[in-house]
Amino acid sequence: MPAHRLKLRIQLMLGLGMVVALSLLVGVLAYLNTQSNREAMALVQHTDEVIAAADALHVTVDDIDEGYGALLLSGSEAALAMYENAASRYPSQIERLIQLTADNPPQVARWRAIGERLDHLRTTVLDQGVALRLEVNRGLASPEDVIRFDASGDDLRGVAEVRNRLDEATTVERDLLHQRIQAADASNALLSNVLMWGQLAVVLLGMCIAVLAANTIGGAMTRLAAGAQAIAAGDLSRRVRLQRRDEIGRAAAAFNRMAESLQRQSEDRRAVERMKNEFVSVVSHELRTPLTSIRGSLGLLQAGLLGPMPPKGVHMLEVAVNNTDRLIRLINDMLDIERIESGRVFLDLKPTNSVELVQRSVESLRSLAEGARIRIHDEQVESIDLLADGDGLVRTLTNLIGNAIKFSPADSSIEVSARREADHALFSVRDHGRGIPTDKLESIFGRFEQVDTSDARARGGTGLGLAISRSIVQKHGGRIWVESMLDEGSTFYFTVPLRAAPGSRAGPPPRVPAAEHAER
Amino acid sequence: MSVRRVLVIDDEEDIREVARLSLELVGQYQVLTASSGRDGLDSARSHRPDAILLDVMMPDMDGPAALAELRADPATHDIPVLFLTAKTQHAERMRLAQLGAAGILTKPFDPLKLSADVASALQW
Repeated sequence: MPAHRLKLRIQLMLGLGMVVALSLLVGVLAYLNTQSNREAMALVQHTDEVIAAADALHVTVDDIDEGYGALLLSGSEAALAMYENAASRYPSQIERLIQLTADNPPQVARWRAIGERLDHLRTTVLDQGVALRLEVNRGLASPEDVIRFDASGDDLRGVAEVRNRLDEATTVERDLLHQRIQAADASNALLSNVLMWGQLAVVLLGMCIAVLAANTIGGAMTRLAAGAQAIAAGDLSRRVRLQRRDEIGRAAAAFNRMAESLQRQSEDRRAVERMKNEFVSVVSHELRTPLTSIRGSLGLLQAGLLGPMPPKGVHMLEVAVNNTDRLIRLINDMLDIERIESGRVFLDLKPTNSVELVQRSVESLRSLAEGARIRIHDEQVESIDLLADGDGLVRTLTNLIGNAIKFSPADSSIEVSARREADHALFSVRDHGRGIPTDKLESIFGRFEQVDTSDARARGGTGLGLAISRSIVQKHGGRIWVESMLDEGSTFYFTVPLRAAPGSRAGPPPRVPAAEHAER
Repeated sequence: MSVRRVLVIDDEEDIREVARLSLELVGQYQVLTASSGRDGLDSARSHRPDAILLDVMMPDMDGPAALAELRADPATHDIPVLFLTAKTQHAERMRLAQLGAAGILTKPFDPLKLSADVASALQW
């Protein structure tokens, strides 16, 4: 595609201007043509007038001839009147013809010559013949004188000559008329052609420009839209190729700059993500390796497998083992929450049941509960079939029940329940511990947030259990919260949508608004 | 029944020692150790242990490479192998699980439970 330097607006205006200019040109041509046509018609009319005048002169000459001939034969008054009438008519007729053809000197000369010949004929022949005949009437001359005078034949020759000249001049006018009619016809034909082809050209040009404009703008819009869709679908390497320097070209260039910036940001994010993954992996390995040796050695010592140990030593080893275990849990929890929140862990959705989940959780905490002399009641757990990540929910329940055990006074009880609500399962874990102050109800779900900073040390927690639980619940599209009365206890609740979000294994983490999983 | 023999292949001497003591004292197994994938392959070929605990991340020849060689050698191809890894990522464990090991044990391990874990993974 060639470079279009002009602005699109100007291109469109130019196109429209071309149509308007062509249209104007056709109009002007048609107007000029009409004018010349009118002139041609006027000329034809004029020539018609000249021919009519010439024909009238012809009649006059005939009358002179006829009147003169009759007069000579009969000497009648009527013949005389005819001759004199005709003789008095022709000078004005000649004059009129000269006026009419004033723009045509050869014709003027012809008419003038015809007039002069008639004048000459009258003075030299006709008037003398008439006078002679009138003398015969009065008896002053004899008819033989008239016959003798007429025998010369001058009158006949003179009239014939005048007639010839008149015919010649008339023929010239007729030829002129013929030419002018042809010219008028040609002019008419030209007008038709100008109008027809001109309009056709205007229409075609208009259509071409409309099609070009539609193709240019429509095509560019289609490509921009396709590019935007591709980018929206995640193909950030997509570019729109429009080698233009008009507004469309600028839009495409801006689009491509946006895409580049998005791609760069995305690559940067991926690079950071890669580094983070690598870091997590390295930390995971590098911390666990020495901890493995430490925990193993301590465990062997504590168990007395390497020889007897004084009681204080056993106690110290117990402290060391407990703290090593806590350190290991802390590392595990930190890695877990980082993985869950970075979105790299997808839910492993499988059919499961609320009773089974609670039983697995309670089972894993049995020794802890027995050690703390806490009874766990799970009679209020309804059987609810779920499509969920069972391990994740067991971990959540274990965290909540474990916390409840840690914060319950000895010989108290914990109630675990599950019941079906409109579009979700509602789990709850209730303890009768010291409760949570109102200002901490929200923040305890954050990382390393505990009601009392000494809790971590005293209760062996990592401060990450609730944060992990919240991440798992939210990944399912559910909600987790706590209600509490100070000194009376706390109840933790969480919901699991009855039909979990689709594609959680391979797709992005579920972002499930309530309406989307409402059907069941 | 004769005493079972377990070969521990790990580049970390301390871990080899802890694992050896744990398996000997708690599990009553006879324990062989090797400090690299290459040594481990030689030891496996000459001693034909009943099971191999194989570290995943080692210089030169890592766990998966060693496992591939063990599987390729008729002398060792039927010895069950348990990976011993400090990595807990789901994706990593899935990858290891597909390589044909009999199980995956996680570091750090409790030395009192290691023998039981080995036995339950191998159904001894």
